Amino acid sequence: MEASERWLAMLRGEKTDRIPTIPLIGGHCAKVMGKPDLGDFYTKPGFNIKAQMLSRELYKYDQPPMVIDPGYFAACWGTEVFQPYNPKMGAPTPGRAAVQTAEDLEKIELPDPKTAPWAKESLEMIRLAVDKKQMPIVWIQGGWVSATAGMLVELETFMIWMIEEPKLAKKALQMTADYAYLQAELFVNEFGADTWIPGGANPTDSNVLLSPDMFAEYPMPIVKKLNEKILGLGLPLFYIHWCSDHNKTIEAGHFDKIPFGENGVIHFGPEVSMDVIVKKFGKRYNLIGNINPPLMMTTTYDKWLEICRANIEIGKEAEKVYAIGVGCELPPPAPPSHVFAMTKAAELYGKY
Amino acid sequence: MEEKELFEKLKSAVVEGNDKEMKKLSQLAIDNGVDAYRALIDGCAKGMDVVSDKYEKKEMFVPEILLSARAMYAALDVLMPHLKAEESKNTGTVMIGVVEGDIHDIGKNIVSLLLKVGGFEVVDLGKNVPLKTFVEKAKETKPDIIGLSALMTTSMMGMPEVIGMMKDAGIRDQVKILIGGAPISQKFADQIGADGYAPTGPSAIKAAEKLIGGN
Repeated sequence: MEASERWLAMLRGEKTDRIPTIPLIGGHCAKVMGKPDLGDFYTKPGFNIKAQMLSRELYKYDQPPMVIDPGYFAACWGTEVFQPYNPKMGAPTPGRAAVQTAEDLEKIELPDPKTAPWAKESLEMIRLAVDKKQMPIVWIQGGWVSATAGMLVELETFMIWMIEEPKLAKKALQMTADYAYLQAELFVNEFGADTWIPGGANPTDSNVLLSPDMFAEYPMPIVKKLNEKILGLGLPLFYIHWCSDHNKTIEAGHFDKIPFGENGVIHFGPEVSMDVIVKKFGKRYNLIGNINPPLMMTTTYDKWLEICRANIEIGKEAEKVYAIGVGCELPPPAPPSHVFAMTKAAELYGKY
Repeated sequence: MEEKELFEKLKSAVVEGNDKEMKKLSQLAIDNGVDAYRALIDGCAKGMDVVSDKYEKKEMFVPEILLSARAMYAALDVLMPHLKAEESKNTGTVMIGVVEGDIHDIGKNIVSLLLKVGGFEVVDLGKNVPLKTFVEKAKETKPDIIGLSALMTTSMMGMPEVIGMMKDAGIRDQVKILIGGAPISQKFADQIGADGYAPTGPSAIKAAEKLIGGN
């Protein structure tokens, strides 16, 4: 069975010959192409998609191309962004945020997704990915604290606003949500609603930084409305990476209030146990595994294969489709043997 | 106001993150002839202990911690100039920074503050610190501990490089290395030859104290 067939079947909620392999691979593809750094991978659309497709062919995983705005959802606002041309960098990195004060927020205007910095490259990357006809995941980041703090507003300032200036915090969240909707609308107009799926990640919304009550008060109602509107454009579902520790927010039941579409793909970090993920979400959503990514670099191949097996045994019990994966981006410096081991484990232990 | 009551109020103001109240109470302590060191240790630091404990138990979160930190700094500004020389003597010196390629510094900032409150002198190199800077600055400032922080799996690989560079510079034996950050584990610390690992901000203070004690 072809890799794309497994992914497309997953989006329909259908199990195929074996569990799919969705490693959440990104920057590692640049290493596959022999690049010492990730700069070209993030900024050059042609190189990015070629690297992703070749990497998939080489490792035989089922992940579709993923498109991440080279401006990292920050440059559009005027926040400075450093591209990862330093080999030590793992992704584009926002620097000084556009909004430092309440006055800055008052002055800032909603960007135009056609003309914002890196919009041209972003659109080209989506076009190339869509041309592969494999339902690429296009990251649309808005409404989350993760899309706002550090991206639009200085992170620590935003955190303090959540306590002392709730109106400003909510206004900033709404602005990133509004921009995300404009992007989704543009992408649907350009590429249709049945050729890609929106995706996102939200590390800064985790319980490392936010209490469940803050989550419920700030991002949740805004993202709920945003997702409803985006699904209203005809897009079938979301891929969402709940990066880091969201256990308290899960316990509070807040995730259940946000729509991700039928067969939405839910991907937690290693901080949430796979048992909990299967139990709480396995009936409603497709799941991706959550092995702790740094283990790829600290364990032997045999041990890693065993870790994959253990994750598969739990995840495979989910009612909807489960795919083996790591619980955050696959480390760019990961050993190739361990990347391949994930597909190997899916073949060995993930047959239906 | 009785001393005991004042210390309790200082402690509460830290937990509440009330910087204006902290400044006022600290000044009140000085004006009333209260020992600045005791106000710091028996009032403010006790408040930070509560904050650390609540953070570990996930009863407080980063936004509240930031307010507590701001309140703590407000008190330090008033109280520090009134400390006697021997009271200012620090537990040890920690040089801390987020390694090259990484700008995620909120955890490092919290650790930095908690170390200061815990009596350490802190040399904060900031974020995205070039690896060789750790070695160069270590030669200059001769810290007891170097704290390395990383959130990314790419930048964490700079940690063993720093340790290697310190060996090459002949200063590895003169300083302890303490590491932390989301992708870091005890196993990784053992593999790269770090002396300590701290999974959270408050645990970094305990780890630093342990490392100093072992010197």
